[in-house]
Amino acid sequence: MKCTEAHPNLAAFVLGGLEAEEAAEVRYHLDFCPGCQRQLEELRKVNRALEAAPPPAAPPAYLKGGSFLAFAPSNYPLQTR
Amino acid sequence: MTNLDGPGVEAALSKLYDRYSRTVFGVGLRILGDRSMAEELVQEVFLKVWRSSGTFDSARGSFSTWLYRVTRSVALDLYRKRAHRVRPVSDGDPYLGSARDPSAGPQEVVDESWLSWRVSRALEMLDAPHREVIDLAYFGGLSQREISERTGVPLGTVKTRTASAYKSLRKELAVQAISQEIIR
Repeated sequence: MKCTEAHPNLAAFVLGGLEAEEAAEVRYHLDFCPGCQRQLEELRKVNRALEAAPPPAAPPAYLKGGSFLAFAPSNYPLQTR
Repeated sequence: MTNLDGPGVEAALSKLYDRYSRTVFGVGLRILGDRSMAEELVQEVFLKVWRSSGTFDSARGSFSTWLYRVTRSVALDLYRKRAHRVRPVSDGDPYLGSARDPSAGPQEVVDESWLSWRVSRALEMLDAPHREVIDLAYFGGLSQREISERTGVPLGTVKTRTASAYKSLRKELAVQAISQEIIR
């Protein structure tokens, strides 16, 4: 495997998403390629950062409507009565 | 930032809400660990954005950074409120009644919230196809082949999107790290 073949697979490799045979080929290439090893380390940093990611969830739709009730003209903060 | 005074205020806030509410909600879930409190956080944050938009100064950092500060402040208030809510019944003992929640302290809440914010914003910057592969691969634990089968996207494209998404995340997280100093 050449670098040009390994590169597109490195992110998937870090994610553990390659088939066993592909993963073995990438691992073999990494043993002899310092450039791809550096690339891999950068991708691992992204993986570690993702551990802090919030769960992929959106607030319930009704919340937007509720939030925006507060923005009605009668509630304008700068308005004096 | 969009002007939050005058007749266009609702449209401007709606746009900001669409762009940032997932991040505020997600960070709320992560820190407060409670769905109803995360919802409360979203409402309080956008109310505060509307009321305090005059304090945003683009010379001091991006809107995202300013919004993070607002979110952090509201999350800390809610965190303390929650600690107050879960206070045990003290049988008249005021010392027991004011005992602190033994879980993470406010400083830990702040530290964790900034990292969560950065990662969430980086994820939100991905377009839908790239976000999808990250959601399925990282959060869903699917292999590249399984993603291809589930989405009908060719395996080679899934791999390219995964690599491209990681490249974008790396770049975005590096950019956001620069603004960390502004927050401290």
